[in-house]
Amino acid sequence: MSKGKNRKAPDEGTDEIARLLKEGLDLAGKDPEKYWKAQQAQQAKTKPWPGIKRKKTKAKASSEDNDDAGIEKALFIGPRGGKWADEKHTIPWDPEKHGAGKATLKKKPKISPEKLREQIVAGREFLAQHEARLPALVQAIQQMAGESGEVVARVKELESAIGKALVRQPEKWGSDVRNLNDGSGARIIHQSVDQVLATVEQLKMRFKVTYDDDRISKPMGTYRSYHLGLEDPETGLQFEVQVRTANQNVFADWAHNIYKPLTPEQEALKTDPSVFGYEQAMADYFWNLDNGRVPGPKPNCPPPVAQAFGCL
Amino acid sequence: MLRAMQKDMQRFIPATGFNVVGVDDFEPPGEQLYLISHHDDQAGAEAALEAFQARSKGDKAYIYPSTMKLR
Repeated sequence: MSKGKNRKAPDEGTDEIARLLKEGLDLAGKDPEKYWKAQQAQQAKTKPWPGIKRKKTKAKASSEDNDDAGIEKALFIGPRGGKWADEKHTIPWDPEKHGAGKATLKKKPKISPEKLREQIVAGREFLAQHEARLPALVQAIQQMAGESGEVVARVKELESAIGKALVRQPEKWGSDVRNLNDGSGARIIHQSVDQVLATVEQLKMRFKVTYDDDRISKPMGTYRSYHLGLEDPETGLQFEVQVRTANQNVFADWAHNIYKPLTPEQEALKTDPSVFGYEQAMADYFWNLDNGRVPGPKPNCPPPVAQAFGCL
Repeated sequence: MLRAMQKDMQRFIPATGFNVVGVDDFEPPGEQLYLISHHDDQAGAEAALEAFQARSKGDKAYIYPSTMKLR
């Protein structure tokens, strides 16, 4: 973790948790029991826990340390780097619920370092199980999708899993990454809504369904995709399959351009009213196309969209 | 959809320094961003971004500086 010359006292807690986090990340492949015993013995000799005053030792800076510190801040402080500059944006990063404190680690986090450490190790194991099963599941899903269906799949990143289970929705997942029902996911892309619905039925017959979220007939704003929670019959692992049309996929990819940071002038264009008009018009245009209807002329792409997002 | 995504972005702009932010595009819009790391300096954030991209299974990631302004 990087260390400034004039570090303030509250950061001592950050150092400690980042170190614990790093230990957790390094644990893969080691004998956990022996490893933790050795680490605990070492800690007792050299390291204080947060809140216990002891002379600081300067840690070697590395990008991995920085990564660890980042996860720690996501869990204990929040995404605003420790200073909740705008309280209206704290939900669901509720400091009271998630133990963040308002700006520092002076407040003891409700997610303890031990819990975090345990979750990192558990998360790695959990995601490795998904990684191992993914090829077989993709093969089965490809059969359901048929030749016309394009399948892509991925295993969740550890940071994403921990952020979701411990910070974003801790109550829903019991603050345990192993409870997540989407450690891995696959996406099937078809050319028409009819093909999508046919594949959904095939999947429902083949797998046990844990949730059925039809965001095609009931879109989330302009977002359309059919999400199914499924259970692997061999391992019991739960995974998600998203089925959508190629147009819906192109539209979702286009929307992701919003996340890319731009110059301040270009950022301002992202919320130009013409952007939201174009978003809705293109969603409707694609919806008609996907259902075999004549959609009318393709909506014009206004200059703010072209500059900030690119045109569909 | 875009409004929900922009609200999500707002949550990940740091008050100071730089956040390295990942995009989990299997999550619904408005819940796709996650924090990879926070840095006081840009060089540290760039190194972390590069390290993440090297080990990532495909998630996109960006650096959000505290100076980033959304309307």
